[in-house]
Amino acid sequence: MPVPESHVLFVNLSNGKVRRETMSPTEVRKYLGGRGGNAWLFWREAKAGIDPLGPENPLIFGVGTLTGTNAPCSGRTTVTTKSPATLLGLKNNVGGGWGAALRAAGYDHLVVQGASPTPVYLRIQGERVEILPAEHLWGKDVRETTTALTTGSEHIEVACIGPAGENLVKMAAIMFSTYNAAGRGGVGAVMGSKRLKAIVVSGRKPVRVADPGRFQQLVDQGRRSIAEAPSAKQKYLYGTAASLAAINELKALPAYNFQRSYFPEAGRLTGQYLVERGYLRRRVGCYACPVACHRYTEVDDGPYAGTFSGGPEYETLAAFGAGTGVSDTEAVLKANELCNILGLDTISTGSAIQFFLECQQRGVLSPEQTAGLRLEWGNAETVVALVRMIAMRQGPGDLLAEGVRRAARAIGQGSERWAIESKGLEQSRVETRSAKAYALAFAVNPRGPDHLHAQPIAEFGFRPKGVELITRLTGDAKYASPYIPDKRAEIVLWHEDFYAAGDALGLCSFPTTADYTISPDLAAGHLSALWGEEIDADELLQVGRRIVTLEKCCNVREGATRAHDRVPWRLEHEESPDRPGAINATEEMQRMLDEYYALHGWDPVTSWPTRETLRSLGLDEVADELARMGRLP
Amino acid sequence: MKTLKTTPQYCTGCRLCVLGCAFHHTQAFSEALARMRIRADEARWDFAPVVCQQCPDAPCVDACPTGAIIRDPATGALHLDENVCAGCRACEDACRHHAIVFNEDTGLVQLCDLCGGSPACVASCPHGAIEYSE
Repeated sequence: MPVPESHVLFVNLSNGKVRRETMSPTEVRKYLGGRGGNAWLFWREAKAGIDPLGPENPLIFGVGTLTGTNAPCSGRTTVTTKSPATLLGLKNNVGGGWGAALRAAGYDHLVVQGASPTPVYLRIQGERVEILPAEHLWGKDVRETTTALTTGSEHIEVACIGPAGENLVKMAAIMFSTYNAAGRGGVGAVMGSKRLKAIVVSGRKPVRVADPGRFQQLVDQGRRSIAEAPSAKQKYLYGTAASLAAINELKALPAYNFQRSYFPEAGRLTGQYLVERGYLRRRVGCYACPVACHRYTEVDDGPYAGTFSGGPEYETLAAFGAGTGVSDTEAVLKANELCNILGLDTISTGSAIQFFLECQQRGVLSPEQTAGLRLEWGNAETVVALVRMIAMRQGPGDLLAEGVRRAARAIGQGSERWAIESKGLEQSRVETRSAKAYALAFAVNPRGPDHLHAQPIAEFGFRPKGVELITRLTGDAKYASPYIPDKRAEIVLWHEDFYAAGDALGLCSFPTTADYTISPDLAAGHLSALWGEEIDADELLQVGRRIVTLEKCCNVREGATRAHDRVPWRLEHEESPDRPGAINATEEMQRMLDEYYALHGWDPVTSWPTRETLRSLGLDEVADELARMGRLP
Repeated sequence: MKTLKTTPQYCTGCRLCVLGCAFHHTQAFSEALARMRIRADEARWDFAPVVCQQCPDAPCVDACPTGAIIRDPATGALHLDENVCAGCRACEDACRHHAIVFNEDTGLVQLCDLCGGSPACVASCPHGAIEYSE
């Protein structure tokens, strides 16, 4: 069984046309599936300068190469498009079971083009592909939509938008398997602009493995590695917020819109607290995931009784808790539920609300802008109300729905200094001022500042495997410290490469780049056993480098330069009183960027990849196109 | 006899059991090829493994018009003789647990055979939601 072709389904919602294409085995080996194949399809299908909310923006879904198998944590899907928030390339990676179902239907990628004049949903049942009317679903929330489309059927998976996506909110998510969010950069608004409410998939095509014996042996090895990792066990027991209290004690929990890095009442926002107080009802795993870091929570009593939802994640607890100064756990659970069912990214929504609260703190809002809301830190009612207003674009929610960059431009008066964004995307809840590799990874992330491009947890030196990795990458264990700016480029590049390759395989980044339970060798072994063709770790990491570089080129095509690669203004210029001295100082950032571009073989002035670099990755035609545009250094 | 016992509150909905089942029996991964399923409430994110309970009164045996479901006299376990199954789905309707899976491609039903005494679903579950015990 040689490297297989990939099957790409194209659906044009403007004219209702459906066509199928294949990616050749050579292309598949070059990019793999998921994020890799998506990057290539996006480069090919998108043109520079297109309107992200226009019919010409392709919305691309890619199933990981290992997805559908029992390889641990292999069920993930990537969504790639142009972001209405950043006007740059955007990839989102999401869990749940949707990707496995798309593969069972016989497809590795789905490219949605055009826009329908009326609300529709897409139903893919194996060979049968239908564009169906969705007037009856338009306006319904994510839970209602998913329930309506799955009732009475088995093995059906739904990806859909909520009202936020319909309202073109620039922080709208696409929700998969009810509560898994492809959340960032307004990907849900792109789907909404196409009047595409949902994509329902099912199929019966099995995934075959070239060497079943070897495959199962490697699966068992991965399972053992995960079972033995204390960090994976913590994620099962307490979710992604397992270490929230520890992060707070390290003075690294962003609070009050990054004005502080410590929140005195963080104890009510931890994964442990959710368990102790009985909010946690179930632990949930994505497709083929033995870790099960996902949560399902309910609130029985009080003003938020009747709240139930997947989550909350660390990011959500930090955004709506410490970020807004709210210590009422149940209010945070309500905000989490609202984001999930209205289809909003919790990171950006929480960030937008924090920005608005700080605007009021600094007295720059007119009474008209505040719309009678009690805009004070820690006011749970206001925070919950604002979530709805953003999704429905009501009152000040209409401005905040544009994201903090545009909101700051509208409000002015220096508010860009507390708009915690870069490239137009709100930063995730990571205190990069005291974590230098993270700061670099956030600055260079093509979609904007968050942890889902490279997750260099190894720099903290918490875990033996992390220290081992740092020693191998830098030659000295002393670099396993987040406070040292040296050698951060080496650390970030390895994490980028493996993160991208993992996304292409459908692997979750927790076992690959956070817990280090699945090594590049093990991941490459899985791929070799699947295909019956030897792929080693070096080749796998090279695929990762190619994907990162191609995504970079997608941004270069849009006009991105070195100036885009920065952290939010506050983190570069203001310290937190909880952590004096910690800052992403300009000079330090610029030095790390110099080293990063040099290691990549990118031009230090523009940050653009050179022809030589592109040629070494087999991206000659990308170089040719950039040369035609005058964007080759 | 040993049977499969489930603890639904341990089930995370990850489908590793279903995949393990299909892979053991067919060397391929497919929920449609498994001899068990996961029952899911998508809104409440509530999941439960659905597996053959080896019922002592086995209504599936009584319902089968061709005698395709046989109880092994040695182990007491039920199994399906695929050469005899007519694909009428009477057993599927009779099963109280909805543990019999019809395969549209082969036109036959799929019935748990306990993997000959070492069930793949049990080995696949990371959280002990399915056990094989007396």
